[in-house]
Amino acid sequence: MLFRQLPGAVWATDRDLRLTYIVGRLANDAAPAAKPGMTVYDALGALEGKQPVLEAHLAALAGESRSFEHHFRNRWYRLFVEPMKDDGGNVIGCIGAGFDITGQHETQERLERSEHRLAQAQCVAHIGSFEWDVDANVMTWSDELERIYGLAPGDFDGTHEAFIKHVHPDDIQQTKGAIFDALRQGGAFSHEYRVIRQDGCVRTLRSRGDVFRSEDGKARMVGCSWDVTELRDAMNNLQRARSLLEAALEATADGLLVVDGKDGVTAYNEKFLQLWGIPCEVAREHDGERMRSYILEKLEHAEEFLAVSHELHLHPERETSEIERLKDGRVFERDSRPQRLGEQIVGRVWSVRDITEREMLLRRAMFLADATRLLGTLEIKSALTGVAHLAVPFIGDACAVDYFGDGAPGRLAFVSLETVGSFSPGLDEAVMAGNSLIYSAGLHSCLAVPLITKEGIAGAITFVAAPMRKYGKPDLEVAEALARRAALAVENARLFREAREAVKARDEFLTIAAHEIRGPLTSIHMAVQGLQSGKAPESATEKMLEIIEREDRRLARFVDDLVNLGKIQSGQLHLELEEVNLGNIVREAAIGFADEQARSGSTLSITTEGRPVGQWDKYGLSQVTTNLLSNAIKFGGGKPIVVTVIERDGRTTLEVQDHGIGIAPETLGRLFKPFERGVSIRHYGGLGLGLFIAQTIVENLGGTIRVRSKLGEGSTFTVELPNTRV
Amino acid sequence: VNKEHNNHSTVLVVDDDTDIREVMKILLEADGYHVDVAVDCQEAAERIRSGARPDLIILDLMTPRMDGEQFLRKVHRGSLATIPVIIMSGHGAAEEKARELGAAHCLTKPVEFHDLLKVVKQYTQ
Repeated sequence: MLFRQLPGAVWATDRDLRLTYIVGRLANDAAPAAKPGMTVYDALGALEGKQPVLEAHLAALAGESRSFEHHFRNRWYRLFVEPMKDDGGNVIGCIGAGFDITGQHETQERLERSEHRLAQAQCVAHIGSFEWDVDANVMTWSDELERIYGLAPGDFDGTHEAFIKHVHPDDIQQTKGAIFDALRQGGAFSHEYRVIRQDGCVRTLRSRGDVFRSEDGKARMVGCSWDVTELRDAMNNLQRARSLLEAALEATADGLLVVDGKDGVTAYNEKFLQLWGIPCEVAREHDGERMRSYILEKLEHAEEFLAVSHELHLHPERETSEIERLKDGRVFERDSRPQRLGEQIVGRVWSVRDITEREMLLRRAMFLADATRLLGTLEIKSALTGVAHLAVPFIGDACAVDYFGDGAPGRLAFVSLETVGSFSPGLDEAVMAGNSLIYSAGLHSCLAVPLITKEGIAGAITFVAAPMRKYGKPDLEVAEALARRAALAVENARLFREAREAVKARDEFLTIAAHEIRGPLTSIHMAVQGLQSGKAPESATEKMLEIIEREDRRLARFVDDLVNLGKIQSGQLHLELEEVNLGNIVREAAIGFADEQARSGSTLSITTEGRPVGQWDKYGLSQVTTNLLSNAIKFGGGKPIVVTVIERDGRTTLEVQDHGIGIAPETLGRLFKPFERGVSIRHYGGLGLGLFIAQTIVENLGGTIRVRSKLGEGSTFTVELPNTRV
Repeated sequence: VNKEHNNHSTVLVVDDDTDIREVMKILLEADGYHVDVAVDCQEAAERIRSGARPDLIILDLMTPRMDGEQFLRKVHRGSLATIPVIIMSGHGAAEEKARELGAAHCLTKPVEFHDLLKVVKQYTQ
């Protein structure tokens, strides 16, 4: 019964192959079911592939044992057919046995399929495997691994030394070290190294594996290797590209920031952090919002920045270019454009450039251009006042302009903001001496520049800085540039004024000259015509002749003045020194004016002290005295005229004092200049040469002439002469 | 004295030049006029304000204290404007000024004696 359940069969035959015994499930599976008495031929019947079974039986009859696998009816069997011998060793039949090995066979097949698939996978993935029995030094490589090394399958020599032979000489030490470490430490390992293939080509391989140890301590290394040459090249290229990008990012003068669309920072450069004062540790977090907080707190108009950001969020395709002003005074130019990956926008690139200096230069140029335009007028006072307004707050929170155009220093303009309070800068002596100056006055930083013209210091401009601001060289440069322009304008205005005054003086001179000639000519004309026509009464004849003589002298004086002016201007005024008594000259001149003086209503007193005798030019001093007396009578208002001549210590002083209309203070300064007059041309005649000629003569004699006067109270002219020339 | 006119018109001569005043006074009086003189326009104005009513004024434009222009604008107004004024000036632009100020006539210095008499006669008849 037990044999009947046998997954196979056991049988015996005689020499005719007639079954003498058969038992097992396999016997039942034959068709018809095999039974003793049937021949093997019958039992096999129409079974497919029966031939090897028959041959095995026939071989057994010939004395040969056979064992083989056979496939019946979808199952695998291992069949044993052996000769059955009698005691004499003669073959009397066959003994057979068949075992169902279908399960074992399928396992084998699956293993083979698996190995095949692994090989295929290795082939496709270019991954080779290896196994190294360390103690036996037997190394087994998969076909793919041999292919990776450029070997034909089976060409690898199968030892550690054979493997090392393929490793690039430069990497041998390192590779041996890695293997040593892996064996010593056990467990997983990974290593990258170069090999030289059979064809000479250098490839980079990566190996990854495990070290196993058996109970008796024997080590086995199992792992995979694959070619990472392309990957390594790609990695190297990527690294190169990245380093190039990083170098480019850092090399640019602009601050750069690349952000994704979700507030993440993709990349930035040091310059960007520097410009916005963002700490490196903050930047390393790549947190867009945190970095933005640093930016916003520095901006003068953070709300505008946020509005632009919002707009760009809605329109990521836009490019922008803006100017940002920072609270600390810097100015940035900020550009942005979308970052695209193919057609897709994946972020935005921001570039920031510090244009403070450029902006400052531009603003300075514009400021100076505006100032130049303002100064392009001959109304210099209003122009300088305009400049003071223009300079606040560009150069400072206050600007003072001191202008000495009228001779005396005076503050022409002072413009200031509330930040300066009641502070008003003074005028430093160093500036008056022509030096630019930066100085501190209390809490204020001040900057003063002189207006230097050819005529000297025409004034100064002083700036007061905004609180906390300290003036430096750049401020000094722009202030000096402004001062140069202002000084030039002052100079131009002066030249124009002088030219205009010269033209006016010439016109006035001609007018007055005509008047001065026509007056005496009229008197002479009418007197002569009156006498000639006999219309003048006889009693008046003498008077008429006196008039003619007097007017003749007047004309002669006029001509003398013109001649003297010509001599002075051409440098041909020659004085002939001789011993002269100034008291006598004064008295003679007074006699000449007696008539005029009498008619003017003024009295004339002459006092002499000492001996006023010196080495002088008689004619010249006579001119001086005549001019001073003439003025005193003309402007004396009919009041007493006092003349004193005092000789003391080798010097002689002539003083002519009247109590007439006096001279306005603003006129005193120019009284001795040619064609100048102390009175309006509308009211008084005279060429305006008398005092100029008097001064020239006196100074040529080594003396001085000066005047004291008060409007409405009279004037005193004082001539001081050395008695002898030193 | 040769008096061609006996209308006894009064002529006020205003000039700061003493000799001109004197020679004109002599010659006009010799011609029968009554001649009053003033050293400048200020004095002339004072005379008129004190009631003097000359038949003719001969005026130099350039005189101390008050000039001829001021006199004509401030004094020679209203009923006084009927008094003819002859401007006598050495100024080049005197004629233009005279027209502008409404003077009756302008004599440019140096003045010919005959011209003076002719004009004075014309404005005193």
